[in-house]
Amino acid sequence: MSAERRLRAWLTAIGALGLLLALAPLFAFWQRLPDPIATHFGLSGAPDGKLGRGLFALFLCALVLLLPCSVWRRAPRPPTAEAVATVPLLLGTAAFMSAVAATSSWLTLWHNGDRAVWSDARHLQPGELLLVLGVPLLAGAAVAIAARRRWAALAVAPAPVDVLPLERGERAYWSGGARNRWFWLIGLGIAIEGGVLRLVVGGSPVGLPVLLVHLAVLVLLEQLSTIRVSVDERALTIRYGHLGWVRQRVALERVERATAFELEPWAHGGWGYRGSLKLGGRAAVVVRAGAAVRLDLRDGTRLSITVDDAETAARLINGFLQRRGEPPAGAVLEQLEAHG
Amino acid sequence: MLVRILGGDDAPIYAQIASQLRRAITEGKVAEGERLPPARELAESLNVHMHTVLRAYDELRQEGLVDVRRGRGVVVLGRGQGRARLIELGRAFVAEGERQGLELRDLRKLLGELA
Repeated sequence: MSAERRLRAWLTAIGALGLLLALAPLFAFWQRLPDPIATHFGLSGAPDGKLGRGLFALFLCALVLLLPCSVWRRAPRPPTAEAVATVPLLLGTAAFMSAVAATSSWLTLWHNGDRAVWSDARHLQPGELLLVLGVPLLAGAAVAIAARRRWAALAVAPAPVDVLPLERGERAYWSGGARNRWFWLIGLGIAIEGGVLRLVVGGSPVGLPVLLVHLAVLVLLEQLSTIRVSVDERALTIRYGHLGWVRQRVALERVERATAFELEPWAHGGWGYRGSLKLGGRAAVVVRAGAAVRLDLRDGTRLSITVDDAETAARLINGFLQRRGEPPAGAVLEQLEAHG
Repeated sequence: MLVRILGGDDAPIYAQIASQLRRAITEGKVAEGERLPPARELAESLNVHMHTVLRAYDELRQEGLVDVRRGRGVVVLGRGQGRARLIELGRAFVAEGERQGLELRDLRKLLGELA
């Protein structure tokens, strides 16, 4: 079975089981539930939030299907070690979400069953929260471990290091970018919500600080909406935002190897600047899904950057690294300079 | 967008830079509306004078491939409707002719025969 079909089979199984466990008991006891039902409980354990029965069922479906649907078309192809390594995490998370839907459904049934109105629902006991999160955690971990065993054999050998051979005295520069309009649009939406709705329409005294916070969010999102990456003999440089004022430089001396790969945001925790080189040893600049370059640094840390034409960037960096150690051909450079 | 300056190439550096940027634009590797890197950055990276890069940019501007504006940088205008491609081919043609010892007159004649 191909990696793609196998991933889909697992996702289907997890999704189907999740739907069955979450919805079957709900529908079996449908007539014995009040409408709306209590779905949220306060600190004291008393019900303080309600939802229509139908909406609750829909919410459970969304919880189960969200992840399988969003990654359905994104099977790792070809199944490189990099891509396969992210599969257990993905499937474990899918199983976790399915199980959360199931335990939420059971608990809601238990609290609302045979009650006339939602506010009469049984009070929530602290131990029951353990059930809602503990069972899914166990299910997620079990699926992730099982998936790791099954998928390890599928990984093909890592791609050989791709090098752009550089001549002695040759100079080279590469530049590429990545952009994602959604950052802008979301930032703009937040700023408008903060500015227009709160300050102008609401006329609230707390409006100004709130507006400033929203504008700060807009600036932050703008910085991540577009990046430009350049590579020269000394370093790889990331320039954030349209103006490129914020820069991040990685000296090539620190780099062991560069690899181009297809980045999946879900494998790096989402979009934006994910992780930290200093704290976690792993970081990723995720502007969008797709072409990305990964730098394996000499200190064992790893930085991934989404950027168009990542293959050329990786080849050039490897070319510089390979040539390193050769004596610089100073004479040739001087001569060429005279021409320019 | 990759720019390489070969040590053994006889062509002047500005011409090498212009030629590679021209190819990147005509092949669509740099899209219309995108900006070329600032001349200062490219010059520092390639270890050449900024004037060398500016001269390359100016050549592209004269060919109608880019627009140079103060404050906005160098903006790619499009693929140049094939003209840039012709210029690229023409340069290769002339260079090869020179290598074979042909003069401009001979090249013109050869072109006339081909047309």
